[in-house]
Amino acid sequence: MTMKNRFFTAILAVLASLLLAASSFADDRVHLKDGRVLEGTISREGDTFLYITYFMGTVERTELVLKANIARIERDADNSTPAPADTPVPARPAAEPAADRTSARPASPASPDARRIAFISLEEMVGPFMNAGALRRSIDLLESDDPDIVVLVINSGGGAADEVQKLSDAIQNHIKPKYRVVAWIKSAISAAAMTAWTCEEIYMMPEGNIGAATAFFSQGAGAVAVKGEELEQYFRMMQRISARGNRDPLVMRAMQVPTNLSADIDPATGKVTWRNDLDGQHIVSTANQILTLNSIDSVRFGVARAVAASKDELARHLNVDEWIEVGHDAEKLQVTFREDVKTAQLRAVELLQKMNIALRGGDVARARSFLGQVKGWVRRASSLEEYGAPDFGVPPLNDEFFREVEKQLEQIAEQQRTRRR
Amino acid sequence: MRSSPTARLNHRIWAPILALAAAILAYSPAPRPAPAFFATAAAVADEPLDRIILKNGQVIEGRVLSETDTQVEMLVMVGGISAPATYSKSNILSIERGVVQPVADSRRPSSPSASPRATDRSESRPGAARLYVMRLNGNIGFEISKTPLRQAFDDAMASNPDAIVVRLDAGSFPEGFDGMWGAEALAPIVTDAINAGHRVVFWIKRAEAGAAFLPLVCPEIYFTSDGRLGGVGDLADFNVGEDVVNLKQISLRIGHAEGLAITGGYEPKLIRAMSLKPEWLAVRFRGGAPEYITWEPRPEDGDDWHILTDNGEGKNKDEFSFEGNDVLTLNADWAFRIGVARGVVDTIDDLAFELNIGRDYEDISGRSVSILNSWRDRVRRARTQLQDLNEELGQAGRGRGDAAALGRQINTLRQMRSLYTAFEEVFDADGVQRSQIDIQIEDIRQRIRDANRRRR
Repeated sequence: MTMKNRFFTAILAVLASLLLAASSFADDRVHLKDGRVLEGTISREGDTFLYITYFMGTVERTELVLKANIARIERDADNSTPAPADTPVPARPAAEPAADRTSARPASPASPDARRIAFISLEEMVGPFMNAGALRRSIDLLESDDPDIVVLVINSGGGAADEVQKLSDAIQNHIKPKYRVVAWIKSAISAAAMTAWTCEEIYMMPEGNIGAATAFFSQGAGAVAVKGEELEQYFRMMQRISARGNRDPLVMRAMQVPTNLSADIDPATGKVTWRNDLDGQHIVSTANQILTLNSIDSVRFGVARAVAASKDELARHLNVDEWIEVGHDAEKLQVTFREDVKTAQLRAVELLQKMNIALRGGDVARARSFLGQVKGWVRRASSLEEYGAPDFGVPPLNDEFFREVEKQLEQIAEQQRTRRR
Repeated sequence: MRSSPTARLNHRIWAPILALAAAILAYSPAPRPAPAFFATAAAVADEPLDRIILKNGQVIEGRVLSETDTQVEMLVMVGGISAPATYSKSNILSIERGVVQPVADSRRPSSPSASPRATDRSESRPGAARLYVMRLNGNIGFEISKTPLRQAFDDAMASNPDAIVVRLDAGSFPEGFDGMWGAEALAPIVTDAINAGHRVVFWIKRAEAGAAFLPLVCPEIYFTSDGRLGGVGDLADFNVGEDVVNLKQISLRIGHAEGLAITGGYEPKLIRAMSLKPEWLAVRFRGGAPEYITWEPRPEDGDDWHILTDNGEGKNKDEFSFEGNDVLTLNADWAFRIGVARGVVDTIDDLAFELNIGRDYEDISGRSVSILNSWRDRVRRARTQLQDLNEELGQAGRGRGDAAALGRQINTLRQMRSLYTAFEEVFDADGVQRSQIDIQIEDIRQRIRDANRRRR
């Protein structure tokens, strides 16, 4: 090779490597079963999922894609690899095959075609914080916003099982008749999972989880699971709620009590058939487990429809090309409500103890003042009427409670008057 | 340990040797300057070099030293530095031999002892890449909490570096799995930075207990050669009451931790293996990619399985709980092999090389050192002060209880309240401590009122 040839060879090699490096970002093509093709770089890959990074205009996006939703993968653009044969497909394929859902974007308020989406956050303990009354009030505030879709953004570790039916009723009877309802889950544990079960459309955040719905109560020796007729009532309640969400009650049963649960997935239709034994194609839970599903398995087994990391991504999965966020007042009500409940619980505990201190000193007037302040806090945080402050051992702060305390205060005052006489 | 006694014995003898060999051979513990290789580099400097193009787009130039069916060993040359590195063929797009003309490098060290760190990193150099290195030392949930981490990331992002490197040497408070809640609370700080377009890299020396979960939200992880991730304990020991309730608690915890792993793109099966002693996890590699099963490998499962964790029962029970395979603790070798770590590096130079930044970079630690150190010192001091004040309060309670003494108690309680407010995320996140202090103050005031009344 002459010096000149070597020089050109080197130049060509450098150019080739530069071209390769430049195009390497779009070397992989992921063909989804809904018709979309994502071109970019597969940055991470597991047995059942992959992450692909691609550009949408000038914006870089990384999307979690389940292999169940993939028709085929072209790696390095020249090497087609079909999705693994045993990879299941989702129970519900995307309702509308969208040509390019990556185009979903927040629209300007003036855009007439934009869909109106309200995001209502439901967080913290079910009952005091994630509360049916507060949810209804939020939904009432949506009237003037006229949303097309209401997204319930759930992040709760559970709480009072008694609130589940009320929340489910609020979703079923108060929201569904007016709006398309979607649950978008960061964490839905226990009573929060049971609530979300009302929704036909569940979507997960990547870090999302749903399950662990075992009902229990605390006793001196430790936590005790609900049993007998009370447990049967919860089973019946969740059968009804499963029907509302168009879900197989066997799945919720495995979240409530240790149960064998497996699934068969029709490779052609993606339909998931559940079995309460271990003979199915996929073992989902066993008799020595309580079921909690992560985001990937939620979609894999059709409990959720897709994983969405952002509002834009969720909108794409909802087949919404242009959207605007509405319902800010409704969301503000939830945020304020939770803040008020948190403060009110702490203040109620503190004021009730101060009331006792005042009584110990025989100062009934001061005790009454503290009790009046407790009433004020309950007016600001209505869920205290029903739940009190369960973490602090404070009972429901309802009319009956206040009547009883006032009666006792009056008796003490009367005793003092008698002594003085 | 392993299923057969012979395998167990062999494993004990060979494991350290194999691990060492694997660490050298498996792939790119990034090139370190080694005097012996400078001579080699100089000797071959005038001959055309080889080039490897990796599937991730990275182009490596140097001299191919050896090649097998599965890997290529190369003397990598960057600037004046050369060192051997091994690349798995599954990661290689092409190997081109003799295609790169060596370029005379004025930066090549003149003697074998020259240090690649000779460049003054503290001075800004036009065109140099910028690495913001943040060192997280201590316990998540105590020294490492929201306020300092948010401030450090804000500072890092304001510096607009090419990469934010989080050097992690941390455990958690509380210890064990439940330190995960602290890590989960910090995770949005990391993911916010990533979502804002910043390149965040975790560089792990020790990610123990709850701290093991924080790096998992980040797609780019590197290990030091002695790095460890795990040590979260055994959730199967969880006991808050009846078995069914314990199963619920275990299940929801695993669900949360799997979510963190999924966020960073890691295999969620690793979480159960890290957290539950009865769980099996075995891996083998197909086309360079890991393939897992969650049971003891059977003949029908095929060959080449490596048992990462066994069920920890009977003959599988580890002799020393922190060294065996009853629960998964990833060392650098395995972290790299299964793709949790992208590389194993011991110096910031090596890390910069692995990040494709090369030698010409600036280390801009910015204010993170002072932010994190200052918080750590203050929170530790606050803990001591709270202990002292509490003791003082106890002694005062045993005193005469006159008005002056009671007044001093109120003063002490107010000091404690201030400390709880200043460090609420560590000592009083739910506000209960301060509420209790307010009640104690009210109690003392009532005693003062009672005393005054008696005097009247």
